[in-house]
Amino acid sequence: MANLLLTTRCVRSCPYCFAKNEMAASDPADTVSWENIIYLADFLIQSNDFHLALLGGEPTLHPQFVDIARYLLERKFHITVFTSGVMSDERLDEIERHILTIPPDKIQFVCNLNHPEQTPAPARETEKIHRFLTALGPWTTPGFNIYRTDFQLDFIFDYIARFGLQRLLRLGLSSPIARQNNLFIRNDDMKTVIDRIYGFRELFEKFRVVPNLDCGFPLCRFSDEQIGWFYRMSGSVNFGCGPAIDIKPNMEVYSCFPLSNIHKKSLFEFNSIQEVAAFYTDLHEQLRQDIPGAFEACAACVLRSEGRCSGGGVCHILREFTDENADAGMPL
Amino acid sequence: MKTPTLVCPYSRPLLDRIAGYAMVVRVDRFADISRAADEVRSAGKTLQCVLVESEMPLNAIDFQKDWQGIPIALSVPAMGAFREIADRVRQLADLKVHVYLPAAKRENLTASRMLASLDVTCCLVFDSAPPHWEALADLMTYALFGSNPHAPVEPFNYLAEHYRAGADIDWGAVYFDDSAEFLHLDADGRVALSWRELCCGAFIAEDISLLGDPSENALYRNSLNTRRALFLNGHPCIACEGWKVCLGRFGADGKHRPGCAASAADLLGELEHYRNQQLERA
Repeated sequence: MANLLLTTRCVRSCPYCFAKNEMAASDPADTVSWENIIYLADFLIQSNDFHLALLGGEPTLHPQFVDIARYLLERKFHITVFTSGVMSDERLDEIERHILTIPPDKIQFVCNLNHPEQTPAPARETEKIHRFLTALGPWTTPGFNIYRTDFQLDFIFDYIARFGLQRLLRLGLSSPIARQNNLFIRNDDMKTVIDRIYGFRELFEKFRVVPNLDCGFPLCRFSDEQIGWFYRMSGSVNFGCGPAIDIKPNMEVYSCFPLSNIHKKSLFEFNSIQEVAAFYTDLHEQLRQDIPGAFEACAACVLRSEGRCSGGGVCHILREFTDENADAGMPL
Repeated sequence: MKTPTLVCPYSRPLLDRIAGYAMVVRVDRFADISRAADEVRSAGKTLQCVLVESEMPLNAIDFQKDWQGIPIALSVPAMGAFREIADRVRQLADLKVHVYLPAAKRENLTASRMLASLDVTCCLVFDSAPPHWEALADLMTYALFGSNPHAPVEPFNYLAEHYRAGADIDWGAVYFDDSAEFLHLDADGRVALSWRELCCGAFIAEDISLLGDPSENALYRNSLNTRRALFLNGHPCIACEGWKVCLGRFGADGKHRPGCAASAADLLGELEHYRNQQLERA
């Protein structure tokens, strides 16, 4: 599934944001045009790919967000919207009038939630998130980005119950951005993070919420018991890292936000989304030839060589590479 | 000249008087669309199309089930917000409605592409205001070479179908405005060569029954020489590379140059490329 950035503007300033580098480098007025939306829709249909995620910045800031979503739905796409839930009352009204008529299996929202005390937000922002969740609970999957080791998840279970959210929690690791400094989970802290997620297992089980691990979790940092639990809860566990394929409003494309600084291409250079994926998969492979994984043990790891684990995220590998060569001034 | 198609207002007495011609019927109200179509067809006459012009945007129009099977040319000032038509766009695609949009508004160029991508045939109407030439060229490329199947975007589809290297192409037929194929009648049955001439009272016959063979009509023959007069008068368009596919429809008054000239030349190039592509495929 490709990700289209409708706009590079965002209403929040999360301390862990791994997109802020990309956002800061973009013109805030840069929003995707209808011509590019139609081009991308044609491109994906030609590629026989009918899934598209709408991202930002905050995608609902696009003045024609509702029209774009409805257009893509008419083109038979299944849409996932990644949102902060912070939006104007007018935009929320539009969504309620024009999107809530569509069943949740055609369009869903992933609302990235921050802990109210650990990552505090102005009261008005929280109010808006609550209004969004009240209106769109059944269409919404909660998402949580982990950027510190003492993170709290209990508030999310409360949200799921209060707002009738989908019983799936998308857990993402805040990733290092190549060539930049941002808050992220370091390799040494991976096990602590996994243990902490596992520490919330009673709440996951009580509320029957499926933990959904995003990319970059290394298999070797899980105990067998933890792997068994995650598998039992979700039916599959992801220890991989592959190109997400993020497409900017101007049709520039890159592997994912943390790698937005390197190997940007134009979507117009490719004939199908599979070609784009192959290009960035190849790039990942090349990077892994120099450093196989984020940990020293990755080089000799059977699970990694057999493809059951990617050895952490490529963004972590690049981070290692950058650190190693920072003094030598080696370009990436 | 082959037997022309008559473009006439919806008037029962007038329809009763006409025989032996295919008809395009102009109605003033949406409620008359199916009524006019029924009357023409039940009288055993050939209905080519029903024309209706709306001041409302497309998204404010209530498409009727009884329009099914009726070729309709629906002229609107704009599409309006897509969200208001999203629920009905499939219905519109299933009807034989061609949506006519003024090319001068840039958002209409975008709307044409959106609608065409959803299987709704669109037609750009060029008037005295110039379009956004760059966006028009972009739409032209989409219309002719878009990678995914889509509904026609006129006049580009017509031009692609009728393009012959070196020959002039008049795409007035897209607007029922080519005197070689269409004649326009008022409610009294008076005949004009075009809608514009009908509006300003320039008739070539006082009644359809008096028309006879149009090609024998002196006023009709004079009309064919109108374009030649441009050349005799040294009009700037005579040097335009794109004249063969423009024939003045992008602005024969010369006000829009050089934008119109560049756009027409682009169009000519793209049509040539399209033809070569078709030949290669064949």
